[in-house]
Amino acid sequence: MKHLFELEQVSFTYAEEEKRTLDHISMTIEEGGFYLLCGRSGCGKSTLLRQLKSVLTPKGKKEGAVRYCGKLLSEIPEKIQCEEIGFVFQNPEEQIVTDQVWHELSFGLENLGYETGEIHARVAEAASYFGLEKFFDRKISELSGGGKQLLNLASVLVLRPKLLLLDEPFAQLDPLAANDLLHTLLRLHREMGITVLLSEHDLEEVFSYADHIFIMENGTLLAEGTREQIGTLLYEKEHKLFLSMPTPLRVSAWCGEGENLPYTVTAGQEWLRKKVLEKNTIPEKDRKRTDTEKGSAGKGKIPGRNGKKPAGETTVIELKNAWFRYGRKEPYILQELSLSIKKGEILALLGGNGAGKSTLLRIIAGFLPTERGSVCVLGKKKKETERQKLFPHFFGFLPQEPELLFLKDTVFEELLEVAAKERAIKAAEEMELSGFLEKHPYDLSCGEKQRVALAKVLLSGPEILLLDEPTKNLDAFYKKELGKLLLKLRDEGRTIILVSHDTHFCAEYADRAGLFFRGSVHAVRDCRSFFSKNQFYTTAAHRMAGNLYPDIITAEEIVERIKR
Amino acid sequence: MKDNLFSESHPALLFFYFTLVISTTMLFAHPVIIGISFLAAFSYRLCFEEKRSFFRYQILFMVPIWLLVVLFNAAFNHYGITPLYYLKTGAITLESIVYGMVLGALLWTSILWFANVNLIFTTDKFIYLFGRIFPSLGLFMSMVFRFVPRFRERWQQIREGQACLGKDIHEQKFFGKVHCIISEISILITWGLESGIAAVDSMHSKGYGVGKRTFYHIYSWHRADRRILTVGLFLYTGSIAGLNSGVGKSMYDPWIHLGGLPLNPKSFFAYLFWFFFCFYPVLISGTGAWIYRRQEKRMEKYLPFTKYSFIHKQQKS
Repeated sequence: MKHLFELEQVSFTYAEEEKRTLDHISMTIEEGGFYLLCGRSGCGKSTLLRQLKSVLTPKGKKEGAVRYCGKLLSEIPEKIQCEEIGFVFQNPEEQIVTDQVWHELSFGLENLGYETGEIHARVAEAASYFGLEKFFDRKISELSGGGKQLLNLASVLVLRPKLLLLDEPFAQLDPLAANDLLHTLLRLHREMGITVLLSEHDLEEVFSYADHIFIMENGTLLAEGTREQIGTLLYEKEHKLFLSMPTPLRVSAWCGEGENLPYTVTAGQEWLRKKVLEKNTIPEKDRKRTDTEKGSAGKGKIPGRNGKKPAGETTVIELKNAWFRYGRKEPYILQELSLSIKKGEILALLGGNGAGKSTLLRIIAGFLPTERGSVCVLGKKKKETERQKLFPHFFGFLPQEPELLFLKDTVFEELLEVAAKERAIKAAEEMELSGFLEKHPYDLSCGEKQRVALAKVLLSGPEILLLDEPTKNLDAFYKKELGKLLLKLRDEGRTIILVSHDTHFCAEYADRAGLFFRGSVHAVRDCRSFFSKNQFYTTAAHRMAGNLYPDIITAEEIVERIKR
Repeated sequence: MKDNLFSESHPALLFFYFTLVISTTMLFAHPVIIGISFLAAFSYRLCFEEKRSFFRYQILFMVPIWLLVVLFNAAFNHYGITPLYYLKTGAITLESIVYGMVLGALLWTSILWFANVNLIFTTDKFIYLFGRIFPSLGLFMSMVFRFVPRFRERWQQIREGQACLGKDIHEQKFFGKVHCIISEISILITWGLESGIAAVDSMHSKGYGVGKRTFYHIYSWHRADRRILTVGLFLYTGSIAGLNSGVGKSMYDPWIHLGGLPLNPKSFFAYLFWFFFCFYPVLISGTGAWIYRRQEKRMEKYLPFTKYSFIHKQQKS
């Protein structure tokens, strides 16, 4: 096959920095492959992708050679680079230039000076292929997050690129939208032979589709190879990235499987069945036992589950038949919603994008009033204005984007904003922020930003913590850290309400979970029965092992069960 | 927009029509011309949805404004030969009252026409028209229209975030409020710069600045547009020829003299042409609706219940 890209000992140092962000990277991209570039956030994935298109390369010192189709990339005219190398960025909002769907689609073609007729033909074709025809003359703001990212992909593809570079395109999307986009990409790859190079840190879904995988760490290329090779390698090295591998692969590796690790749910089920037969455990019997014990004792069966303690009896917040909408002509976001939240629990609310989960948090916090119904705080009915007065001592709200809370030039100043010096230093130590107290908050990685924002919210001493999509953009390792922190806060007696798409995170750390659907919360149950009774809205671990062990919801539990 | 066929025409045609009709109405400050134009603008406005609030607005705001114009004109201008009443500053005359009425009606009519323009000229039509002349302006406007709502949304989110940290702006005294707003703006600027960099990267990645930009648009010139243009030009030429030959003349000082009144054959035809020209959008929309109803009857044969649109509505959405 033809080499599309060849990188020889490529190093890169940002201007005004001393450490190399990329350190002697050599890799080859062949035509027609589906490549995956993984690594934890801040390891230099984006910087590497940006080396592959001249206009996007940041200022700094470059070493080594990047060859495109045998020629040095810097010698290839910009126009050809624009057409042949497509780039999709992480944030779907920020890369959109214009306000109308058709205008965004035609933007690139206009820049390259195509005639109206040609533009029309290509734009029409792309719009119908991507299912954007209905939105063609609409405003882009009417599209959902997933729709926007699809539009970004389409607006790059009208230029007919040979190679697509995608910089964590799924990070800002909910799982359903991310899956849609992934399958569109696969379709493009299979039907048109477009080469894809994708960077990603959450590998649960993407991993099983990639032909070839690169692993990056601290600016170097740690390893490359096929799925099987990479899975085994990461396990053997006990690499932190192993935590973001697909559940079946993790489970089988933890159980001591050496070769042919399964990486899809189907393969995982197959593997588990064999494993169980091998071990001579009789699953039929096991199932019967758990069936009878379900509800009462099933929960206590598995040891080491975060030292879960039963939630307190006091109700902190109670919503009764709440209704809400944003305008007289808008649809109702909340409809007859009733929910009671106990003191000292972690309550997870799941549901699709735009279902109104964030709105519910705003209503609890008192940013928005209810049209009908009431909100009781500590047994007393409170209006939203009174609830706002309880700030900052009662509610703490962590918005989806932690940047919204940052005002100052250094992390330490941020903390001083809300607390005195001694407390700020103590909090910084507790949250492990000491390493970057003098850095600008915008320069931190996503996980670090999240921690700073959380520290800032916690310093104001809230009883109830409202978290809006706390795991968005975090890699598996940071998620684990966040989870531990939440458990610690809960054990201190704080109540945590989190809104998320992340079934894995919720299954692991929440006490109770509920599904947000059509304006109200359905089926608020304890976490285990919630996830084990759901068929679609559940974790990969449950989907993999649910046939044999109906009450299992996390990967660790499967391992536990098999090893017993 | 129900049954509003005229607004679907080519933007250049729409722009041309509205420029002509508004400028001509203003040029001849003649009661009959203004009256016809007023009725046409009013009826065309009724072709759009949301009628009730429109009527309320007209009665509550426009009638008082019209009366005010009449009052002021009569109170401060004392020309004319027919005094009706004497004030300390001078006489209130019939001429100044009539001129005030005409002037007020002119104002009202132009506001009505501009309201129609506002409903028809969505931002993309506007960008199309001016983007041809100034290509970078068109793109710039499109970017602004995208940025402004995002900016507002972001501001609201920042305000909520600050409230969570105990800095609720509504709880603050004056200086606290100022301090809050300053810090909000500072976050907004940081965000704006960051997001601006991302947008510029994306633009360059899609080849902005590589060569000369071409201009793509989604409007095409249909045969119907040509027909509308030809008939419209014919009507306009007819009315202008008539009005210019003395029919459109008007004088209010020192005495009232209006050309074309009382009606004679020449002025009748001039007004008729003007009438059809002004009512052109209404007539086109009306014929459109009529044509559809005829087609509906034919559709009934194979697509039963076409008339009862609620049955088919689900398919559409």
